[in-house]
Amino acid sequence: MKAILPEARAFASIIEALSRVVDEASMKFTPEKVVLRALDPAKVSMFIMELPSILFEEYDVEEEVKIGFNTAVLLKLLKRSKRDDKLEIALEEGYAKFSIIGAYSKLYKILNIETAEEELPEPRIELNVNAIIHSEPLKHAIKDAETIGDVVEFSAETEDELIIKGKGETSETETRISKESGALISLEVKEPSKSTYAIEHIKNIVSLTKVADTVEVSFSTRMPLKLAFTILGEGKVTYFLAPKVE
Amino acid sequence: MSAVTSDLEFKVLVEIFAKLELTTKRTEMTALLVQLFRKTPAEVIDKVVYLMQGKLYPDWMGMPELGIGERLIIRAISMATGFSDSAVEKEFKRLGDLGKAAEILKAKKRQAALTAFFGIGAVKPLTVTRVYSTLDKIAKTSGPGSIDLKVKLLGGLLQDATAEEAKYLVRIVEGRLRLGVAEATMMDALAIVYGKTKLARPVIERAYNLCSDLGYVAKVLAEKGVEALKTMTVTVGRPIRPMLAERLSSPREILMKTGGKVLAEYKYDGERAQIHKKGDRIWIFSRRLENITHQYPDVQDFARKHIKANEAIVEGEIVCIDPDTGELRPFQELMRRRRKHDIHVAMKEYPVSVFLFDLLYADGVDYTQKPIIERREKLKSIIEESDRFRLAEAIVTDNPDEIEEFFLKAIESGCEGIVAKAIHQNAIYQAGARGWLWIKYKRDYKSEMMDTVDLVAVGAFHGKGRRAGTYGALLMAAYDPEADMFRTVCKVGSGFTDEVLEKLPEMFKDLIIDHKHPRVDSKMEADIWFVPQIVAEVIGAEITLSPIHTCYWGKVKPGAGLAIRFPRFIRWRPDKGPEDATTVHEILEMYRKQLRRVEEAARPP
Repeated sequence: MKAILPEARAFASIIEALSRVVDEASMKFTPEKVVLRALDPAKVSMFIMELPSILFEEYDVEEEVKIGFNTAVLLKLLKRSKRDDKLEIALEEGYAKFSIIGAYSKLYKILNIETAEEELPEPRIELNVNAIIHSEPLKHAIKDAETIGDVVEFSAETEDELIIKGKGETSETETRISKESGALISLEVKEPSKSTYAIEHIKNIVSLTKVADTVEVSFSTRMPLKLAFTILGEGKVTYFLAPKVE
Repeated sequence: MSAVTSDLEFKVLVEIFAKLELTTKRTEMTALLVQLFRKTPAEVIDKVVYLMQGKLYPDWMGMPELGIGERLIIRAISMATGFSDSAVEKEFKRLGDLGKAAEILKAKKRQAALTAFFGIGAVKPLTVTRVYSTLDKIAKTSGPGSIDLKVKLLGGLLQDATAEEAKYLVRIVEGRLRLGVAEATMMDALAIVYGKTKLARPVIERAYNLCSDLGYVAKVLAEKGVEALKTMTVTVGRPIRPMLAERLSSPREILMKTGGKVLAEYKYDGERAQIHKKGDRIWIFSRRLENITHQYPDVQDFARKHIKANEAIVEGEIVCIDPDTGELRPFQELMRRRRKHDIHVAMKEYPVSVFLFDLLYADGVDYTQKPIIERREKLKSIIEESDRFRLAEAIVTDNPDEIEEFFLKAIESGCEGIVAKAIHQNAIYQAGARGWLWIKYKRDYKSEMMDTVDLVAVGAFHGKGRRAGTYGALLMAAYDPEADMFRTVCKVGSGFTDEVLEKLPEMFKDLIIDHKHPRVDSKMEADIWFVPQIVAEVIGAEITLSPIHTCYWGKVKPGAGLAIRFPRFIRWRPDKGPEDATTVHEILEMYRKQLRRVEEAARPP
């Protein structure tokens, strides 16, 4: 099998976020797409990457194969890539081959490891608030909240604005994302909702805002948070996080 | 990950933990352990034994610790319960017990696992293997991002744990699982479950004493039976549990207990060490079987150089010394060495000597079953002795007065006392046991020295090494006004600056005589004798009885005088004449005033 991604850097950003969620993961290549689902060891969050074959410059996968890897090791290699470098992924006799192709090409071979994790099914869940927002304000709201406490609260009463609050012992921060400000692209509220999540987990995937201009934010009261990032046009990284109880 | 064929639910272990906490009776504990071991498959019995002791490996393996403190445990509980960190902390503060806090919060049954919201990945009960291997991964994870991973791994365990399991998991991680189950009780239970007769108990104990790894012993026993344990031998690199001594306070009692004749050895005041050598590889284990190899690169070098056997296990005491005089330094100096961060600086500032007293193994031969005299002879034959690595000072005697004299000499030279060892044919090395084959004889009383004294220099000893060409130490005396004599109290070699040292020969050159001065009372033979004239201020740690020094000879105790232990030179007293020196009466007064019972001080580990 062989697959060439046009942007190695974008893939590096995905693996950077992934490496903060799990230490080992496995990518499944099928003739249609590449899928990776990982549950963090504390079982609080889930990371799902889906890259359809059309996203690749070249995609030659005849039968399903898996590439298991240590996320920190792969990240270290990918960080060596430059803007406009391509990434070729291939499999050879127990090794995964990652080639960064630019002005010249660099090849890394890493052992294809078997991960302990059993395969996760695709999660299905209905959430009452669904918003599409620009990713910049989300990043800043999380960073603000982090300075004062360890939880962040998402709420939406009406379809006008989404509120992200940081809550500390003695102080609060508040980011309002509305259509007027231009940061809110769409907001659907089936039922007014308010729910709290741990920053220590959300902050792990904020790096994805670098490669996704918009993010889909979904939640319900005392239900998980879902953040869906669109990457490289058709690619998608979805992150689920269990709620915190105050 | 290899498939585990047989496992034990963690719940079973935890139920026994809870019952063990409710009893202090050994018979009940044994019965509970028997219940537990009967349910435990052989594949995981080692893990069960380690977890019961609240650890993952025997301490001596020097494996990484879990490295997960209170704050991180709180984060993990928060992940596993869905309560915020501050809510967990509040509960912890209220109860003062993190394990209990985890239990209560878990019992509230909030949905915390993401998978629960999706209705996927049904929670499987925790097993001993899952708990052990996850804790092992927590311990071994290192590098950037490892803290987060450790917390998440623990969070995952707590996530799948029941409330009660969570409590004990937290206790294990905190290092606070104190079930009060002695190793001996575990061995009793193992003997009942796996040994067909009572005879299995000593076999298990012997195996444990030889390898210091109860988990390993349990596994061999469960998988291969008692016979396999019988063939277990000493292994270089695995510590042998040390033989311990009883204590008595008179030479007569000691002789009575040991069969009339003993090998008496100095009991040095340092750190007991079991030194293992295999070719060039050296291991050093403490009395408590911790691996302390890295603390003593110098001792490693001595062992490599001076142990002539290719493979050997020897025991000795590591003691701080004054490299210039070879004198022993107090135990506290060794503690100071330990507190230094840079071991190479510490080695220079606090040099050590090793005094060997036993041999347990040499080139394929297990000496633990051989009598002490044979062990000591073999030890002597495989050690190339040097100043810094040699056999402990020892005598063989059946005379109580000789023991007493040897004891006083030991104290005065800076030792804690002596160890008297039975020398009959059955005096084997009883690994892991405290018995009457070895008997400690230590001071019941000591007299700390609070003030300096002014003493007269009556003789000197040639210097060695860095002090070649000048004096290594001065023989010092107190004044006896009635007899108009100078009676010795110590040999002082410490406290001199290089400048003072250098000038010594010049300073004394006009006072040198070729025989002991008639006004000097000394049992010690100095290399050089002086006319008593120059006075120096000296301080020591204690005033102690001595078989060598003549101050107040025979008046406090027959065959003993008074001496100063760990003396240090402070300065010259040119203003004082020899008759102005501290008198023997004043020394006696100081000795009596400060005489106190010696408390067995708890030493830092």
